[in-house]
Amino acid sequence: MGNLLLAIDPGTVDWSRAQFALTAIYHWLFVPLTLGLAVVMGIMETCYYRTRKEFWRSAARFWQRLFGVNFAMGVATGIILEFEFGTNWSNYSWFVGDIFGAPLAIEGILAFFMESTFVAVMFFGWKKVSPGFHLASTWLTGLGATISAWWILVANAWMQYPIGCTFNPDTMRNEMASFLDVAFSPFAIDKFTHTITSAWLLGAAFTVGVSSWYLLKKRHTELAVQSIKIGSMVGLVSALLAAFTGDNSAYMVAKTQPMKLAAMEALYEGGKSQGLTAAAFVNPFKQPDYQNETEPPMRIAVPNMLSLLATHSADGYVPGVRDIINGYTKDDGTREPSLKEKMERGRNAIAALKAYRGGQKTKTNRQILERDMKYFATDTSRTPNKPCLSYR
Amino acid sequence: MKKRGFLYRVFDLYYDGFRKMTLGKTLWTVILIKLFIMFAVLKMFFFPNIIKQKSKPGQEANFIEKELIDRNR
Repeated sequence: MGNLLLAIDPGTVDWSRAQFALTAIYHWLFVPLTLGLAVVMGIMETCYYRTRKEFWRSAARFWQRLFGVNFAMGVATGIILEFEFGTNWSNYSWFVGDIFGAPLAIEGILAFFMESTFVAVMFFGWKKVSPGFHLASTWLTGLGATISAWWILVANAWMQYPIGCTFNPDTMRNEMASFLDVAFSPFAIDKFTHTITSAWLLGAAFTVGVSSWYLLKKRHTELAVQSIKIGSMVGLVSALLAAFTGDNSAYMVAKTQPMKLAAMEALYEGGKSQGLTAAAFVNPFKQPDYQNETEPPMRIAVPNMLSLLATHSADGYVPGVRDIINGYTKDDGTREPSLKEKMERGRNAIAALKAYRGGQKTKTNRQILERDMKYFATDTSRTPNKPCLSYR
Repeated sequence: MKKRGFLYRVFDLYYDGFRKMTLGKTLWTVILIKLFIMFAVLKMFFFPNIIKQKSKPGQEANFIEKELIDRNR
């Protein structure tokens, strides 16, 4: 069995990716709804605490019940994800575990224990603790889930935009140079704020949706009407916040992962004053001919909008897929190497690492590693010390 | 009514809560079955600790080096 697992070919890597993606997708069906419902049930219980009307108590309990189902499913599907870091990505876990493990450990010890503790008080403590303590437990359950999301997104953001670390060729590990840089990475902050506000929006939409169904069926009318009111308010506020944080999120993607943005927008050939594709015929089953085509067929674009979103300037420069492959010059005058050059530098890093590990622990090999390690494995599917998406 | 101690009240919160659980019991059963399959079946029989198996204690870096640099593909 061990040998079978060691015989890693691209097929195995792809299967590992597919399994991880499937688990992550399944987990993510429940998490945003949990985060969103935490706000809705918190507001309802606050109404109960202030008015002491039995109606608000039963309304809060109704939404807490739905929260509980999601919470349990989120826990059950989330544990597998952490498990898969060891089973599917053990080399990666060794390679970057010093950094990657820290936010995951904090999430488990601090946030998950916090939400697990207070969720018990929330569900079991209606008749056993004071209304004030119960209300605090309800909000702290939501806060614990939110802090949990923070640390998971810190880990995820680090994979997209690895900072605060250095590679140590002696231990073959990436080591943390600055915990604060990792914990408060701008990418992590944007990911967190956008994810949380989107989760609130989802919770609000779910609340309004379920309540509307009850209204249509003429059941629990008062619960439905009051829930729609609260859901609508939460939805409106979170929609505005999600739009604002989403803009920052896309701005960070443009800044740190231009290939991801170019692929998302099907931008073959970039330049200044780029339009945002509103509609285009992109064949999902075929790789487009980036080198010879200028844009996807039947493209309709909003003028200058992509430049505005990606650079916050209507005539800002946005590189396309072809530019990133061939190399380009940024607005600030710095030149981004071509894919060919990055692959060459990646091979230099591999050769320097091999020489270093073979005993040639020279200053030159160290310098090559410091300079080119970020391009390590650009041309292969080896474990990357670079953002998940290739040739950024 | 006599006020019980803190530890008793914590125990009672969980004991009483789990005892009166309805829908939650099904969810907990699903979670426990899942954890059993993961740790008692998958972990034990399908996912050995490869790095530990393939390297001597303290020499794990050499195994990772081989995996990253020398692997044939």
